[in-house]
Amino acid sequence: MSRKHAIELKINGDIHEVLVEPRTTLLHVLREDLALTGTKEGCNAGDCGACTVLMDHKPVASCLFLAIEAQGKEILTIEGLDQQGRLHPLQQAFIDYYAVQCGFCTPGMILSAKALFDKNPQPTEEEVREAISGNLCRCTGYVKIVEAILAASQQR
Amino acid sequence: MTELSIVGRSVPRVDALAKVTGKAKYSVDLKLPGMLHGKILRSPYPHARIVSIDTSEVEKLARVKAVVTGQDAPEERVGHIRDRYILARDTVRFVGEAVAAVAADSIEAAEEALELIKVDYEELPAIFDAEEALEPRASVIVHPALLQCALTPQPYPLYRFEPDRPNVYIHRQIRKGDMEKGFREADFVLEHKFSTPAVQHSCLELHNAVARPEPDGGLTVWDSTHILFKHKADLCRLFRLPPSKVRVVSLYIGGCFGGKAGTIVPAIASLLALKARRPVKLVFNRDEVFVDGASRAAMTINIKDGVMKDGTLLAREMRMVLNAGAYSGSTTLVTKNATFGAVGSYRVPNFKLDSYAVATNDPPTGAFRGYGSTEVIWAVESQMDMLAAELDIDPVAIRRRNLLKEGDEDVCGMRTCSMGARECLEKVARWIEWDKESPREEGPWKKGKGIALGNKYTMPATRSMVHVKVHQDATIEVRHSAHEVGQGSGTALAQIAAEEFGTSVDKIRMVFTDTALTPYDAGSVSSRSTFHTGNALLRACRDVKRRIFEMASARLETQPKDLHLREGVILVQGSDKSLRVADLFAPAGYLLEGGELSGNGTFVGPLESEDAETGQGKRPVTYYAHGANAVEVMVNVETGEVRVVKNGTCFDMGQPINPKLCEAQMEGGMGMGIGGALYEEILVAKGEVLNPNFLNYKFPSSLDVPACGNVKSMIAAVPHDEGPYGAKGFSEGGLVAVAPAIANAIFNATGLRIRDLPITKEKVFRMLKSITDKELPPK
Amino acid sequence: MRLRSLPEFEYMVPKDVNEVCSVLQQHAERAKVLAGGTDLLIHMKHRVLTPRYLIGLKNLSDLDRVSYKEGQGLRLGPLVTHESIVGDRVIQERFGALWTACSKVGTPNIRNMGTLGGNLCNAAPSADTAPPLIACQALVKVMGLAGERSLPLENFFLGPGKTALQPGEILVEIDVPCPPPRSGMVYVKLPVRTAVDMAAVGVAVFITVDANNDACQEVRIALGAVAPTPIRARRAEEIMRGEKITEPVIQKAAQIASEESCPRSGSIRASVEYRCSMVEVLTKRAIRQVLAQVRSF
Repeated sequence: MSRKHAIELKINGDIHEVLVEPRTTLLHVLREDLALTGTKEGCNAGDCGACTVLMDHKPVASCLFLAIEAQGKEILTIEGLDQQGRLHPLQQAFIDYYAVQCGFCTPGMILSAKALFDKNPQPTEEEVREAISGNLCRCTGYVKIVEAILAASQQR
Repeated sequence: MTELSIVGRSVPRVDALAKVTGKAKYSVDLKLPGMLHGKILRSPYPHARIVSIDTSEVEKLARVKAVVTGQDAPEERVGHIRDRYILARDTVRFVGEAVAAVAADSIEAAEEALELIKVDYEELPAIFDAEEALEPRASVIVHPALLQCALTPQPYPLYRFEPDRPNVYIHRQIRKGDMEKGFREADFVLEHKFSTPAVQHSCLELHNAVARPEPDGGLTVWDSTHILFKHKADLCRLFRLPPSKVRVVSLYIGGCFGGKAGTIVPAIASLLALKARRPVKLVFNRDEVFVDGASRAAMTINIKDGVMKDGTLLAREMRMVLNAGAYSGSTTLVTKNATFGAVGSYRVPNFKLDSYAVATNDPPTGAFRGYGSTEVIWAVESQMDMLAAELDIDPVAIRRRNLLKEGDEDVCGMRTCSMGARECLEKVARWIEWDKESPREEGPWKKGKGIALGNKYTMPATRSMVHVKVHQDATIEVRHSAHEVGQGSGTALAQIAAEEFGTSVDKIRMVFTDTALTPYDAGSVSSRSTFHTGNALLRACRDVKRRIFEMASARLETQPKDLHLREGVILVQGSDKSLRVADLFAPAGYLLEGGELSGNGTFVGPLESEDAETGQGKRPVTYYAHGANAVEVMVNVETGEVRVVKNGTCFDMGQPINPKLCEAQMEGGMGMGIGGALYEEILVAKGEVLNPNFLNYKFPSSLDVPACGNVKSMIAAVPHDEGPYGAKGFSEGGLVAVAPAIANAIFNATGLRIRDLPITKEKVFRMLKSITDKELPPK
Repeated sequence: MRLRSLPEFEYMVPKDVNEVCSVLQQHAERAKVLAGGTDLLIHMKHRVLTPRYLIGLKNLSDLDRVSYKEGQGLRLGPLVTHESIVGDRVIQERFGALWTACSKVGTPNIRNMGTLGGNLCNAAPSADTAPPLIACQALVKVMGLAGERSLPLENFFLGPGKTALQPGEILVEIDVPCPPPRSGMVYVKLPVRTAVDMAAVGVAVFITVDANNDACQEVRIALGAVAPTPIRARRAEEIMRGEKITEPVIQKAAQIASEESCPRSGSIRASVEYRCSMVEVLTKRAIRQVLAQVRSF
């Protein structure tokens, strides 16, 4: 086993101290060490988007991000999106527009949409589709997901 | 019927809040004290004898707490035909077959331990071509002792073995009428061969299970599946444990589509857990899912039709061959039931069908949304359009002419009822403006429209039981074993309970899929849950209400029949007397009349005998859902790219319980259908999967489906007498007609007819090129 | 090639480029630089690469810059992410082919992590950023312990996964000259499924037209994913150089480009035939798009 490094990660506004090997991915730390299981593993190769988290407001694949390189960044996971039980408009829209089925792609999908809103508060349908093009969903055909995201953007 | 207040309305999903906040738990999220991680060592050969396995190096590792091989695995086997050991014993039959497994304190340690297991193989000749394997003198026999294997009992005839074709798992037949006469009398005969490739469910949640050994020698298993009682039965049998000592639990499931029906994952997890005497989590990598995740079998379909000039079908002869791969899995039943795709829609006086599940050394296959209907309907609905083209008849008209009507007998002898296909066809045709001439070209893009019909049966003879409890505060607790795989079963059932008790969905608590807590259910398979679990739920609700009204009638001095419930209050018809549910309880929380206020309901699906030679029976399926798709495509004549720009789906699922969730299933079916039509194919060479990842196995992203405004999902409900509120079930159905509608639209746009899925741009380009090469005069 | 967890390695974070070169020199094949990780970590998960040392570049903030000077051109640091390039208005307006290429790499997640330097040094035959940069005559600056050297990007690729980087060297800058007046550039891409993988045929075209807007003063056509490295379609360029860009000239150039990138003798697999045909289709498309661009100035 390689030498372990003590690192500090800032996640959802909280500082966490964890002991990691260099090879430990951010996805692993989130799920195994911090019990933040909302971020999912779908392929472990950066192809499916289920492991999406926001790093300094930008969506990244946490399965391809070394935890040791995530120091000093602001990380947002799905658990950090609602504020004391008050849902983010995207979360509410996903409920109201029936955009959830099995739910496995949902956290990554919502975070990608949030990152889009941060850059572009009034996206077109095409821009929404482009923003979530790396979040694969097998259940929905993306129809209600896109509708939910557009509806949430209209509410702001 | 009284007006419905909750059933038929699009209430929000009961699990949506948990899922949008990341709080919903899936078995892959579990972390138990002392839990180990399991990893599987897999065969690199498609067919080989295992000469020896040496695990001595692994056993020395402190971080490895268990290592198992076929010698440690149960002697009992799994599969519809019980032909597969959970860890291979003397023989491996596919590249990727599980040969050994370890449990270690980290995934990395488990992976590293696999490297130290030494396996000595003696390679054997292998066979990969299903037609070749089908032959009596096949060069390789995959299962020499196939006929000696035990069978998983089924309540209806399934197996027709072919002793002189050693690689045939089963052969299924349907025979009706006089084929020779039918073809003789036809004005026109058309014969074609179609094919579909192996495809992978690609559910986002990887195959996984967590098994924990219990102090009494039993097991608790958290299982990502849709059929937990079957897994429990298998585990009891495999590990020789009584049912009372095996508990199987399913949490939320991150997609299934039939891929998690096999027992291999929970069985190997259990084997490791029992050996290590600690909990073990076993998770497949994505590439393992492609290899051992029971993908859909590749199929060839030969179809020969005899028709009259006016398009009336006189005779239809079909032959289907499924490459079932190295073990029978569920593909035996798929081979039987896929045939219903060719039965449910059309009236055909003379019909002959043979379908074969064939063993090869390709990876084993299994259930996939549609259970074979998708592939069969691919062939049937493509052929219907080809007939229409030859006869110069409108594709919608030829279908209308041949559609079964209420009361007609289908080719299996079942009387047609709850038949909404006609209305579905009309609705999608109208939506796509079928009769309207629209612009056909936009630069290099040619546009076209296509229509196809579909059906999806639900299997017979399955049963569900539900337990309902009413709490003092008038909340209703429903205990059931219908899996929540994403389709919304929990919500539909909550709506039924809310309807029955005159309350709202937020007053319903669902306890689901835990064999220690929830009663037997045959599983969320075959689009059966709304109908079967729903019916059981209805009976349970009515059982409890009967008790409530009995108790209340005494106190209210009236007859039980004059009472009804609304928001936890028992009301009397024509009087303002009332009683709260809470008043039936003591303040301390017990029912005044004793115990709990609860009841059960059981629903057993119909079972009628079936003739194994002719496939004739009064009720070979419980019901059919019917539907249609109309699509508009654009085909780029320079690159061969096909884009689906419009999709309209209409389905008859009987009374919809939640219309928006029904739409969601149609839209999901559209996405999966576009993938199957244009992109998806598991590439296998000499038994090895070449594209076991999402980089090289493409399924639709948000960019590959039509714009929201160009997708329409419609309902044409024809109630079914036996369904809860007239509901049937249909989640699989949204998929079945998409691919042929696309192929028919491509034909409409370009005159190209492609019969082998997927319709890749390379195929389209090659066909276009061969046409233009012939047409252009030499330069 | 089973997918696994990452193998063990040691992680270092040198404080400047010199230290990076030292470490690379010292450990040679056993050390790799870690930029975005989107290629390297995948190779490692498949055990195609198992470096003992990974060199984190987070201290090298100088390498994460984009600057543009009128007359001088574009200076890109290797650690600039694809997404940063897509967000850069100057690149979008003046170096549109590169902008397009970066917008088509992978998925949004990958674009936020993957870097220009990583894309080039990974040297996949289908690297998206290579054809547009080659068509723009980009130069790369490489730093080693012996100092700095420059070479045309075209000469940087030696084979699949192989670059001209010597042991101890690291890519430090990519320079793109200002396009002359009356120039246009375009990058077009089409995913192509060969027997096993989804490669992508990419075509970048750069054209400078004469004062009359109809003759080709200079042209460069760069192709990706059709050869072991990105290549220039020089014979196709010859057809066009100095000529009026008419429809027959476009057809001829595209046809030659296709021939240049494809084997002529023997039978070829259907998938290869498709790829070759797409070179022709995409080259035509690209040339026409560039013409529309320059004519609209």
